[in-house]
This record gives sequence, structure tokens and C-alpha cells, in this order.
Amino acid sequence: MEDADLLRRLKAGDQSAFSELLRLHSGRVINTCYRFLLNRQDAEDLSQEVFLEVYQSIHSFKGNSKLSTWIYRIAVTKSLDELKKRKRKKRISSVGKMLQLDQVADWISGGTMPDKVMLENERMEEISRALNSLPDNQRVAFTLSKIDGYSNEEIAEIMKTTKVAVESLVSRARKKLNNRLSNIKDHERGRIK
Amino acid sequence: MKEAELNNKMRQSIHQFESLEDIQTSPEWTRTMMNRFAQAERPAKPGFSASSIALVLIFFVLANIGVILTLISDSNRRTSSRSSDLRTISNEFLINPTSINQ
Repeated sequence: MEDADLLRRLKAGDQSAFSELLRLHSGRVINTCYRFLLNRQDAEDLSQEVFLEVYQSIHSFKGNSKLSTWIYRIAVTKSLDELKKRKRKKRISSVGKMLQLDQVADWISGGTMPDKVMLENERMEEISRALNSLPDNQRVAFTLSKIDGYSNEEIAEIMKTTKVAVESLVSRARKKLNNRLSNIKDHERGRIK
Repeated sequence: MKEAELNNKMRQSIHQFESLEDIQTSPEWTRTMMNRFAQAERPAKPGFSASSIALVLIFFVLANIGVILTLISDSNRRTSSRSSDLRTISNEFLINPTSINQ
């Protein structure tokens, strides 16, 4: 009922409704982006893009799902898009570096890689690499399951799948992460020898 | 580095991700967001707006006027052409229209 009232006010362009929307959902959205990007500043920027999209496309929201589910789905999609963009930049950048075009590579990658610089420490970089190796659906299910407040039912709604499928995706992601991290461990062990 | 140390490092990596502290939005973030809302243009509401309905009505009225005018001019043309046909026929049969009345 409250959702319907808020939605009606949002569609009418009521600014106080958007303020209410931020109060209700900004925390969840920013933390969702943060878990995907692993960088606070990037998460803040991306979450603003999420709310701008909500603002501009609220008329297209048909109400087939909860308003919150729709917003979190936008946050997840934008986060994945951002990660893909970074992967592409890294690929171009590494080709440039291979050709010893360091300056061009730095320019293409937008200066120093922000996630490299901003990651809190080496361990986060490792986990980021391990997460990057997961298929999108496993990454989304695993990441959302680690954010307080997302139940498996809600994750299923966001991913448009079933609760059982989410549980399976999380378990497979965890297994794959363990394997991936073990590989890193083996690699480090080899380096030490 | 010993095995136990490596294991510990891996465990910590996953743990660190799992226990990332939630970040809070700052008042500055909210202020910037509200400013961006104010500046952002919202696409027009889907469906018919009042102006588009008025345009459709005007088009409809004009189209109807056009059809009516065409029908009237067509009808006039047909009437005049029928009277000219009758005149031709009567001439061909050499009927003097005035003689009929006599």
C-alpha cells in the first residue's frame, strides 16, 4: 500500500517522494554497488547513476515486482556493466603495455586503474580477481547473499529465478572461489620455493 | 611462508569480503543526488498527453471537413454533368423541350 502511494507520487514527479526513496533505499543500493566494485568512491558514483535511472524511467515501471526489487535489479545490472567496462579497459590496457605503449595504455584505462589503487589491500585484490573469474549469475547470487538484508527469496526475485537456483548458484560460486583461491595459494607456494 | 600462513591468508581474503562493513550515504551524497534529480530531464509520460490528443482531434476534424467538401464538389459535378447529358440526349432525339408542354 505504502509502495503504491510512493510510486504514485514518484510518477507524479513529487520531489519529496524521491527524497523518501533515497532515505529508504540508498543504503542498500550503495552497499550493493560497493560489494561488486569493492571501492567506496566508485560505489557512491555508481549508486547515483542507479537513482538517476530510477528517476528517469519510473514511468516505465509497471509494478510487476516490488519497487525495491526493481531498484536493486538496476543496481546489480549497472554494477555488472561497470565491471565489464573495466575488464575491457584492462584488456586494451594490457595490449598497449605489451606493445610498450605505456602512456597510451594509461590514457585508455583512464589513468591509473582505480580499483588497483583504491583496493584496501592485497587480499581484496585477490578476492576481486577470484570474483571476476565467476560467471555473472554466480557472482550476483554470491555477492548479494553476502549483503545484510538480502534473503534468498529476494535475490531470486532480483535475478528472476527460483530460491533453489539461487542456493545452488551460491554454493557453486563458493566452491569455485575456494578452488580459485587455492590456485593462488599454489602459485604463491611455488614462488616461495 | 608456511602452509598454515597461506591457509590463513586465503581464509582472511574470503572473510574480509564477507565482513565488509556497510557504508553509509553522506549528507553530501544525498544533496548531490537531489541536485541531479532537479537537473535531470524526465522523459514525457508515456501515453497521450493533452497536446497530442488536441492534435489528433484537429487532424480528425480537418480530415472530415476535407471529405465533406470532396463529397459536395463531387455531387455538384455529377448533377451538372447529368443535366448536360440529358440535354445532349434530348437534342439527339430532336425533342424540343418547349413543344412537349404545348
